[in-house]
Amino acid sequence: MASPVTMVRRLFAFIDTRSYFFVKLIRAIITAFLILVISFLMIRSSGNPAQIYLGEEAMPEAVEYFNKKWGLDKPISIQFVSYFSRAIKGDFGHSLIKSRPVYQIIMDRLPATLSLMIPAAIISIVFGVFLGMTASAHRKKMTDTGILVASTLGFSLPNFFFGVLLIFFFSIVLGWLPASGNNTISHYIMPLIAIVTADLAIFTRFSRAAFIDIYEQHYITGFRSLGVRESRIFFFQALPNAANALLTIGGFYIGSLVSGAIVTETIFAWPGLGSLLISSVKARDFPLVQGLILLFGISIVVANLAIDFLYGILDPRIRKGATT
Amino acid sequence: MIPTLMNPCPSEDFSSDGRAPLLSIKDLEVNFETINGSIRAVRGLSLDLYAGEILGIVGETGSGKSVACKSITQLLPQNASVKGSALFQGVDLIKLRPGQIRSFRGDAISMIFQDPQSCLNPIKTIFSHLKEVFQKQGNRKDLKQKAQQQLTAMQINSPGKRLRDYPFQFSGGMAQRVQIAMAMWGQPDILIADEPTTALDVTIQAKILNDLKTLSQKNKMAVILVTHDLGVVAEICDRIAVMYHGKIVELGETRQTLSSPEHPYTRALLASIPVIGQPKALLETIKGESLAANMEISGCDFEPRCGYAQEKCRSVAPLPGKGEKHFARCFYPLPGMKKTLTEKKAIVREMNTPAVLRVENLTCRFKLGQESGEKEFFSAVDNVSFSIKKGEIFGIVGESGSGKSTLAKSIMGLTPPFSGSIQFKHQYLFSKEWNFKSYAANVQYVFQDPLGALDPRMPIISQVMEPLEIHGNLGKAEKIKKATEILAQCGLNHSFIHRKPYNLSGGQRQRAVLARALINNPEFLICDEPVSAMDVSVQAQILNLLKRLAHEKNMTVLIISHDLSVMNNMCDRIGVMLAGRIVEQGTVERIFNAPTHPYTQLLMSAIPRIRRNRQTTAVTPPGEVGGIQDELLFKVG
Repeated sequence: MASPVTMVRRLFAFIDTRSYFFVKLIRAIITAFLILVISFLMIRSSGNPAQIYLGEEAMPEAVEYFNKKWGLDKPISIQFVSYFSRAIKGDFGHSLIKSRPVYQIIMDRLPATLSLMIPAAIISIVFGVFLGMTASAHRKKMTDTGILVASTLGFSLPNFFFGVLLIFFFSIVLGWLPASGNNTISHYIMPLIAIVTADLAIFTRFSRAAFIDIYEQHYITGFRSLGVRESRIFFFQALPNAANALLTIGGFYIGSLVSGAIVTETIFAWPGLGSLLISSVKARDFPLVQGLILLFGISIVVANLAIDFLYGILDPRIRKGATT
Repeated sequence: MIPTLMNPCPSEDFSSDGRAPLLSIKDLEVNFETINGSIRAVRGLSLDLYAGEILGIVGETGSGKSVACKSITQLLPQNASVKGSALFQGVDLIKLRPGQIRSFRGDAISMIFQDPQSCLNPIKTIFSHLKEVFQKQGNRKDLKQKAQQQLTAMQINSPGKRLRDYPFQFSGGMAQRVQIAMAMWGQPDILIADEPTTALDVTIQAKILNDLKTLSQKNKMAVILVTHDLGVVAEICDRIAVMYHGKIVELGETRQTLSSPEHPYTRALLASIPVIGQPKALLETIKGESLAANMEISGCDFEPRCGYAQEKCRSVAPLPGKGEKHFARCFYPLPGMKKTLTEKKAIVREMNTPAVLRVENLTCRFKLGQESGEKEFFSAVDNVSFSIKKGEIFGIVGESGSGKSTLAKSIMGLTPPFSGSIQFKHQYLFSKEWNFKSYAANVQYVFQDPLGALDPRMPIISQVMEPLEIHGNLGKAEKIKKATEILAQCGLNHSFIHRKPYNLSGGQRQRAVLARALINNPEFLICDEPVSAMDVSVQAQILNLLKRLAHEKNMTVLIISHDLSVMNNMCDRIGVMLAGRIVEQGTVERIFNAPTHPYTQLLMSAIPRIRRNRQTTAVTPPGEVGGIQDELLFKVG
């Protein structure tokens, strides 16, 4: 039987500790741990839980009983260990207002957010990249200018304003679409429009810049000069390189999908996580806020880890640790 | 054997008599429509190219040489309009629709470009590059095997493994061979090589040029070699076309054109190249700057800069040639140039002064990473010792990766050494008593890229004044006076000093950088590749200026360069660097006339030069491209 030290050594010999993927994984785990620590400290520093729960004028006996029941009389390190072990099992405690487990409340709301955000993301990315490509192909011509102006407009129109405008026209004036809720397909139309106008503009601008940059690279001219078809140059040379560039903003974007469009959800009374966050902050429902922050934080970490892995898969220079 | 100026290969006669040209360009005009109006990049170019010949097109930045070549295969951006004709096998390439020209590219006419690494897609394997070109042929069988054969033909070792590698795993020379392998796949009749060796070291350049020559002879392929380097042209070209301001000003057989140029511009270009064997000579310069591409003048384009211009040149433009064997676009063609070459003045100084800078056993290391617990280091500078005397110009010459820039940074006081010492005027750098600020007032640095060294938003005069603000306390009027003086000494008169760097040419920018470095009267000046980004005529001006100022101000200068002819022209003594070590040092005369180290000999033999000596021929270095340094290191131990 080998000693534990040699076993660890063997494990590390098996996993290439300098490999790109390993380094990224370790970093993600550390970040996730830090998010847990910070959310724990944040709640602890926001006041005495017993007083928040029982009110300012609670009897001292009640406070003592409460602290004992929830383990708050133990040292802070012990508290963190039990918090940590529960958190990784998905147990974030009970909501103060709704007296249900935080986990259940979040799980009830998550589908509504994802059902709105995933279509919005697909539409934004697909059409954004397509528009960006079109604009870069017609650079400095009417098409390009038109797309640029429209995207600037879409990006600079604040969601709360545009959403309210949509409700005013389509629900109040015309009466065509429902203004709140998520029961039918027609409920989805206005929130989707509101989210997509802004997100589409981001992807349009980024992909336009990426394609312009790539088509100025020498290797594109090189393949052209040897008679390779434009379509093949586009699909096999330009697109993979553009994907690489687009991954960077994709990382930020995908991570924010779970948190939902907070403003848009509130305007359209969408029963998702965004509006849940707003209402729980208003109600000072600390366990729920803590659970949501953890969820948003971890989902950003996971999304970025996925993006980092994709970088490594797509770009050999990163995978093989090129210095130049 | 490689043809040299006086000793050419017995080559076929590539002239109009009898044979039909392979490619016939007539009255080629290229216009670029820009926001600032239209720019005529090529102005009526006519040229015949014959099968199997190597034609060199030479010209300085902006002369239209690359644009002309790209217009033949319609590779110019959309804002370019091309007129004229380019007949290839009875087809006018310029009039073809985009779908039609594509079938000529790669099969009839292939191109290779400068900076081979950026010409390969960084995220694709070499096999995927070759496959993309093969795909065009429609034959998809045995792709892997064919790709291997193609790499083997280009002398790339272990092609099976190399096919799976990515461009960043290739050295510059190897990447250029991959590019050539791609270009040669369709067995083209014409290969257009646009500055194919400009980004490469001299030893590798020699091999690539040799490859091109061999390929051309073996396949009866015509090559158009676009370059700014007359030495490269002299090395392998059968004919040469000199371009100025979008026109061919002289066209003829290489040997004849280079030995007795008829156009004043060709003559001036040749005279401004430093010639090895004439150390410290002041170079001939061409007055003024090249005409901007959007400038139109009524007479001869070169007239404003020409020393031989007469009344007629000012009003009438000389006409292009009509297919003569040798022709110069000039009313008063010159006879020979032998006289001017020998009459160069030289600045020579006596050197019996004490050493100012003393470098002893200097080693600079970088950490690479950890392997099995032990730290790995890379010694960029390895046990280097030398000293520079007061008033001396000392040169460090070496190829890319030899550690010469790290050495310079260390002497500048920016990179602390791992071991060894640097002593400047009896004070040790990086010691406790050493003060960087007072050192920096005495030691200045000039970089390769003047545009990067200048603040784009600040007028030149304010930038030149900046060192005065750091190292002294003069009044504003005094500072301006001093800055104006030093700028004038560097050749920038009053009309330039309030401009911003973007409104200056490359040479003027380097003059401004020099003025800024010299304003505090430093005792010691470090120049890192001060002229390597410049055209030869500008290079000559800057080199002369450096020589004159070093002499006038009795400055000690350390020059770092990969260009041996520049070194020969500038330095009193030089040190040759290879893989972090100085393998040989001595006076310029000794190093150039009797190099003892094999690497120095190899370097000397690899320089493409316009030879005036019958006996010498260029030697192609042995071994694989990129492996020369390793090979020699192994021998040297």
